[in-house]
Amino acid sequence: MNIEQLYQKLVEAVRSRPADDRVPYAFEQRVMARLRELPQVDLAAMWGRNLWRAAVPFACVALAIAVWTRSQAPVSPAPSPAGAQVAGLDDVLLAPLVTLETEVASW
Amino acid sequence: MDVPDSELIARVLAGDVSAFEPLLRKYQPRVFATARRYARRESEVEDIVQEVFIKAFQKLSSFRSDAPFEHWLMRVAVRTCYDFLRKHQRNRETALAELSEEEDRWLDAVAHSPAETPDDADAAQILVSRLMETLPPADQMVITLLEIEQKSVKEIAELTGWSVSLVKVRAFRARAKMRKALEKISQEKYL
Repeated sequence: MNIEQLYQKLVEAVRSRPADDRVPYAFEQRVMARLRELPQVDLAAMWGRNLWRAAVPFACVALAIAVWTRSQAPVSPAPSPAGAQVAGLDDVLLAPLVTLETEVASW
Repeated sequence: MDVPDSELIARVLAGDVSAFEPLLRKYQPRVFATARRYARRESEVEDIVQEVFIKAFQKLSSFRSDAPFEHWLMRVAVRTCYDFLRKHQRNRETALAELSEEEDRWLDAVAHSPAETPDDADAAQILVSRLMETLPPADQMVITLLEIEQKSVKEIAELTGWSVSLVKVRAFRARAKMRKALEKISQEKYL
């Protein structure tokens, strides 16, 4: 027997059957009763919706804090590169002494 | 006069649960017809349909009104049927074990007069269900949508959420497996 032909016949036979769309008696009432029993709040959806709603206000607050912090920062004259180098050198040279002093104090 | 779907959906989303009932009444025959393609027992069919509508109700807020509600609902239905197939995988080896008298008669009729299609479509349906049970769930899904419901590859991709190329690959493999299973039946019967 030709398998391809047999396959096509089978598929055609099944296609020729009308779709069985019968609905059992009062099925919709059964489903509606189940739906009424369900908790009405979809927590995941609510959480997602609220997060999206909160995104814009939070972005505004973050921006406002950034602007305010920048405006409150003390304006100090920029140290000259030479001065910065000297200060850095002092820190390095005096570091052992500072450590020694703290150790002596703790005795 | 029929209330438009969009209005009913808006009422459901506003908290009016009873507005879902007209939607349920309108689309339940379509969902039953789909579910009966995948489940044989009536109790299983009812469980599938109930799950489809519960999911639809719970996920209604994700429905975008740019496409008809029916399309969205059918996507939910097809995916629920796929979940059902995955949960209820039957023993693939025993699916072809013994053919009923009607199935035997159907095969004989085709063997003796290949030009004609036997009248008994029920026997053909059972035979196809048997062959399908030898396939993995994804292959069953693709054969049903492509061969029985005659959907296009693009439509299947939309319904299942698979890519077009994945649908094509699955369809090719599923058809080959169906033919192989059919060959096995006919060899056992006629050799």
